[in-house]
Amino acid sequence: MGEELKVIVFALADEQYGIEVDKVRTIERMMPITRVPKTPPFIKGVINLRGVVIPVIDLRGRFGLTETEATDTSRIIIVQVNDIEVGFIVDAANDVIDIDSDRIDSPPDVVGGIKAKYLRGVARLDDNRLLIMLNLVEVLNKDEIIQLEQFEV
Amino acid sequence: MVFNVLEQAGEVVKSQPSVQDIEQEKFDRTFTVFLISQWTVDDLKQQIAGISEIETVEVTELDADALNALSRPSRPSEPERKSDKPQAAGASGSAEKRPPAAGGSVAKTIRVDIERLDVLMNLFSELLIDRVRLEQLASEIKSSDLTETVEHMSRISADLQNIVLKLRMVPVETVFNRFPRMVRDLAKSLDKKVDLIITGAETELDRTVIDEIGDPLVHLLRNSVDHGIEPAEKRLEAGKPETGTVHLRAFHSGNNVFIEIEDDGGGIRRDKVLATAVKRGIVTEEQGKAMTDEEVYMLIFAPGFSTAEQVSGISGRGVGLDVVKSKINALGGSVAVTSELGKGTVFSIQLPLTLSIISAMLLKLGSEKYAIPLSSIMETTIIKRSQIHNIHGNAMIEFRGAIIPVVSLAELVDSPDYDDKREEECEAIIIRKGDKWAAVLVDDFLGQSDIVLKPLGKYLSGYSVISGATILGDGQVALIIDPNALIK
Repeated sequence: MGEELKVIVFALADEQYGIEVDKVRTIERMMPITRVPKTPPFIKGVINLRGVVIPVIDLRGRFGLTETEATDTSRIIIVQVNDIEVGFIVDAANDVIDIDSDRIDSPPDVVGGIKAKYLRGVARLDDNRLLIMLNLVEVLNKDEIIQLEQFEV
Repeated sequence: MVFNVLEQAGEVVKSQPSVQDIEQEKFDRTFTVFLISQWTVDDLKQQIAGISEIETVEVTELDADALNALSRPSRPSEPERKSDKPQAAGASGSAEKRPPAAGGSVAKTIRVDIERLDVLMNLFSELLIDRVRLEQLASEIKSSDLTETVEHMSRISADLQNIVLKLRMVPVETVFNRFPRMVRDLAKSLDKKVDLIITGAETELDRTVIDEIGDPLVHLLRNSVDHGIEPAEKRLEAGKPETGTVHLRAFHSGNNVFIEIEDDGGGIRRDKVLATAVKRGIVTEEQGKAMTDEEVYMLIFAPGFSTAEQVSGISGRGVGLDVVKSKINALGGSVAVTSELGKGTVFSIQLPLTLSIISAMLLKLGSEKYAIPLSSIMETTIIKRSQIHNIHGNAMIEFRGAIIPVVSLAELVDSPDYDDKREEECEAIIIRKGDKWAAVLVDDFLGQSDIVLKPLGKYLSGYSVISGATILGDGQVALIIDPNALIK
């Protein structure tokens, strides 16, 4: 038995993803976003979260997926990694589940059109769902030039 | 208690030492107060002498000349409080060391627990959200009574907002004002001549930062006087004026408050610093050779470092500077050193503006709102397309006899729905940086306002044009344009 991880599950495009609960500050509904000029296109801008200005990125854009309009179920997940706080726009944020870390396999090279470096692994859930665990540090890494390769499946 | 009487008598203009120091008993046996009052000298004397702790009172009437004679050579640039009252009187009192009742300062003050302020701020933010909702609902329901009441509430909460935001802000002057004396005493004890020149004392900082920044500044100032400024003979030998100068500056820039301590002393000696660092095992000789001058200077902040040949009672214990650096880092800031051998040294402290307020001009570009610090705006005007000339590929315009560049803000921020090129005439602001000017085209002005600077955060740092953000009264985020991006 590995450690028990508590994970928040969210949906993006057709896949389900997980982020550990201790990295998540809060989950918000969509709210007005102020555009910030001269930033990469997946950085949608900033929001006012109860008096704090927080940048928001569209994960679809970050991963090179086609971006879509926000819907009623879209949410902004505010994560905190080291001392960086950022919001992720996702299609829907669902449950909190427990995962045994043993059940997380290392990712194949491509999952859902996203390069492996953004992924920590893929978890097999009891109901045969596959949960993609994100490597937040890589997702928030600014050092690379944003040229994501798209793989055709 | 003395202050209670003095406040009834008139307006306390200045006190020596400062009011806080008096309250904390940081004075010897006497203190001096400058007062503007309509009372006669005798009345004042009588009233103050009546206080049991006071041994003797001396009241001297001052006119303009005496005031000039009394004011110290290193004049801090505090705003002088001018009054039309006829008499200015200085009153000194000898007192036993008893804590005076917590009455008295230039303006009446009250101590407030910072945590309570935090709670107040949070509650207030929640209130703002509901206010916006109410405004929306009122416009939907269309009841005139409701709309009127909500409008009234909005006005009041806008005022409340300003006050709440300003509650925590304190001018840095409260920390600076004890320094002139400290520097004088220090210089005296070291047999040196030093002038302390303070600028920007009105710059405001969050209260918690003010509380913490005092000690580091003391250390750095002492360092400048002790190690930086050379003794008088040495200065004369080097062709410098006998009296050394230490500049203490505070100013806003972009997203930060800077406090600089600059001395015209001997500068930092790279070889000496490296030698000591190697000796103390902080770096190896090879590492030292590869370091830039700046990196070597920063070594003085390393724990356990000290180049003073003699550890004086004042500095050189190797404890001061690393504590300074960690305190400043703990405040979310950073400290840097630049130095030129023989010319002097500058310590530059950069502190983040978590809660600082600046006056800004709000403007709009199509559907987007932006703010520009008022301090960089010289005036506003309207510019006609026809006035703009293309010189060597740059848009220029004649303004008050000079040719200045025209900057399209819309282009700079990639505005999605405003293009100044399509307008016959545009509103514009004339900005200035040093001796460079520029005309910036905007869509429309939305008025001036004091805004709270919110940092954009680490993730968005490094992108130019925008230096920060602010939250407008309606909860919307408006980005703050960095004036440096407008004038290269």
